Amino acid sequence: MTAEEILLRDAFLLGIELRLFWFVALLYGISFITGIAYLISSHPGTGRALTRGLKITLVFHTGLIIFRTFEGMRPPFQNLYETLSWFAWSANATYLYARSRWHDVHIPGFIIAGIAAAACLYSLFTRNPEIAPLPPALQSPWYEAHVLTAFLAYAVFVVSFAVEICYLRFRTPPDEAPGIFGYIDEEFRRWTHRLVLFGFPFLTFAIFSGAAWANDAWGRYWSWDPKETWSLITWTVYAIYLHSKAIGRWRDTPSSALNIIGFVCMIMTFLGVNWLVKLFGIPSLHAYAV
Amino acid sequence: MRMLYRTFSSLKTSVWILAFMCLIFLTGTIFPQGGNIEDYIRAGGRYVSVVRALDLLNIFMSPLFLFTTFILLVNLAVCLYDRFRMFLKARRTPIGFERLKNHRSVLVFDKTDFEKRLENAGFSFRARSRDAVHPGVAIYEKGIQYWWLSWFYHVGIILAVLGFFITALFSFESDVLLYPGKPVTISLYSRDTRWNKLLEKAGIGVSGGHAEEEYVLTLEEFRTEYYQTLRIDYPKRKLERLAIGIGARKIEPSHRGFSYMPRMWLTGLRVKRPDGKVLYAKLWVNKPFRTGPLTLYQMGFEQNISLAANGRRIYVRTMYPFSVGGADGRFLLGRLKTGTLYRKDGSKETIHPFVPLYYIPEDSPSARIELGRISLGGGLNAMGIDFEFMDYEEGSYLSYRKDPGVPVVGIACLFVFLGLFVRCFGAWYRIQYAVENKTVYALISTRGILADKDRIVRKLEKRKQ
Ligand code: HEM
Repeated sequence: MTAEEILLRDAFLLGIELRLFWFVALLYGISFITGIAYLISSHPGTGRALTRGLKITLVFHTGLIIFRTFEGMRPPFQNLYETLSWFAWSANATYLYARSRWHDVHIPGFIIAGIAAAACLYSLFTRNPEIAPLPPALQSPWYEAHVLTAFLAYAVFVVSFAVEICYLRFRTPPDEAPGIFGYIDEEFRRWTHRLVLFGFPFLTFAIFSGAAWANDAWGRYWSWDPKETWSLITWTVYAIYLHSKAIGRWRDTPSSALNIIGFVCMIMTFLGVNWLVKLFGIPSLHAYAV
Repeated sequence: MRMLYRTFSSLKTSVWILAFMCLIFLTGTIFPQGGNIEDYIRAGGRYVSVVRALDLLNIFMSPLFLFTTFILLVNLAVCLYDRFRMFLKARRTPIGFERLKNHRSVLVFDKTDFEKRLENAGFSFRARSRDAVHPGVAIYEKGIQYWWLSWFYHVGIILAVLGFFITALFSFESDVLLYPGKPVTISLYSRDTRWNKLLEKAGIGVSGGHAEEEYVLTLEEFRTEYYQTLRIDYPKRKLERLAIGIGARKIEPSHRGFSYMPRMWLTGLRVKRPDGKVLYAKLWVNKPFRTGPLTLYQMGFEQNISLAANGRRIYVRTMYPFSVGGADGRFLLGRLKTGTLYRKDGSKETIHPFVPLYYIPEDSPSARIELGRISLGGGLNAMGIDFEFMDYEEGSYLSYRKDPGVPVVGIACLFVFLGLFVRCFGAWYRIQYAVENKTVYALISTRGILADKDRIVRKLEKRKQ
């Protein structure tokens, strides 16, 4: 195959990938609308349809991720176009796993579908899907470990956030029959803590591996770069959240507030830092992700 | 004193300190760190007096931050000391029999061989209460005691902060540009480390150069490699992007064809150490070279081109604008491409060195109008000038560093990560039980994500049959 033929083939494959990606975004959108219908009707069948919608989307989204991996012949999380898709996929997969352990509670899926749809649309509307090989800065054994653990932590925190919001909004008082959206009780809420406890070591590893990588690539393990600092803020907020669970009176509302703040910080680390960097014109070593 | 001890050993204090640290971190993401106050004022920065007073442009070395970190360290140290004493002394006191029996989560098992079943399931005896009226309650446990793991990773956090301080005080870094055949001597000693500055401030003399920290570097090889990458004409407008998504528009390769993307920059050099030993070092991005306290990093490169413009020799650095006598506006040479090209079809090609030439009109200094490419030995006539590409040289741009904090932070990371991982994922179980008549009343508590209470219950039940 000549180089020109390869170029045409790559453009053709990219066209297919983009259609699939738009289709996945559409499916997330439909799931989100189903979620709104569930909120309005509170009909259990609609709740089950929401979960089914997310499961079907996961199948197509997995296909998309595999397709992109074959196109680029490398893991698909090199730039924001790819990581937004990866973020949506991992949040959905983690949610569906956690959901399988709950008895008939479907409502957090509405938040997950909304976040995943927003991430996919943001990627499709604002990012360039060109496939580029790994630049020298990313050719490191730390690269995959760092990104994978960071996104695993992010996915788990998204689900913890969704559970927290649903608990705050739809909780059933103790010793009462399940509410219109199922058993949203203390036992259900314990998932927020359990999920953060699961994600926290991964976030810790992501920060450590990032520092080890920076130590090899930039000659300095920590530069107080805005992205690094935001990751430290996120980590500290979740550490405070975990501590709050060990302080009697902080276990309820304060810990819920901390979980929500943690989620906002996580989004800032992932996306917001780029906006702030642009807004204030701060030079950032992580700017290649912009 | 007791109150101070109580405050510092309290978890609430640490939560407040950590929250305050978050605010400092946040400030550090808003104000450009390492900037200087004059630039800040020139850029229209407000709150100058606050910025100056709190050292907001260098917040992570400001007295406010250092003091907060110090307080956190004290808090952690006191807390760890307190917990250490507590854990050593701690006697496990079983729950009262009545409370156990009437507990919401109490489980009931058959008495026969219960203790044996517990031991077979990996549980060890820890304590038993004695009671004249009620049956005694026994405690059995399984798994690594999580409180020691918590203790362990909190020690790791102290170590990490200490490592950061060692870096801040003693680390030194600088950079060096190496051209073939021109050895450069670098020194790992600097008067400018924070520690030496502190000593100087305190009136303790700091000596000048230290020959035992000098290294001689000689560049032997510098190589660049490129990928051939796909360019596509991806529309900028959102509606057109949507049109691709619904199949109403096709995606096209760019008319500009392939582009060159850096694949690797490799430096080979001789390093003469202070002890006279000569080493050959090969390094590239993400692959530093370490010897003793010195680490060398590949940062980038510099290219100088020898051009003839209308027959007159000029020396130009790529990416820097230059003027040619008699011509309006300025010119610029883009990055020189040389070395190996990894083509899309899997083959490799040695690039015949070439460099793109741009024109910068006088009235729009940010514009770059591409005039064409000039290959080594070839020429280009543009804007009425005959350019000839005569020769070039490439220099490797390295940075070097000495940082005694790295091993400390490395060990700290290991402590924190291992402790945290085992604490959060590992499984720990405690069973408190008492026997009344033929029935066992048991209460099971767990820690760790992998702890599976149901599995333990099944194990204990299974053996009953
Ligand atoms: C940078 C500072 C700190 C960080 C990042 C941190 C991190 C953590 C994390 C992640 C946990 C939760 C894991 C779990 O649930 O066991 C935890 C638990 C805990 N921390 Fe800290 N901590 C810090 C400072 C402190 C200080 C200063 C104290 C002492 C007052 C302290 C005392 C505790 C205690 C008592 C627990 C509960 C122990 C347990 O249940 O295992 N921490 N810490």
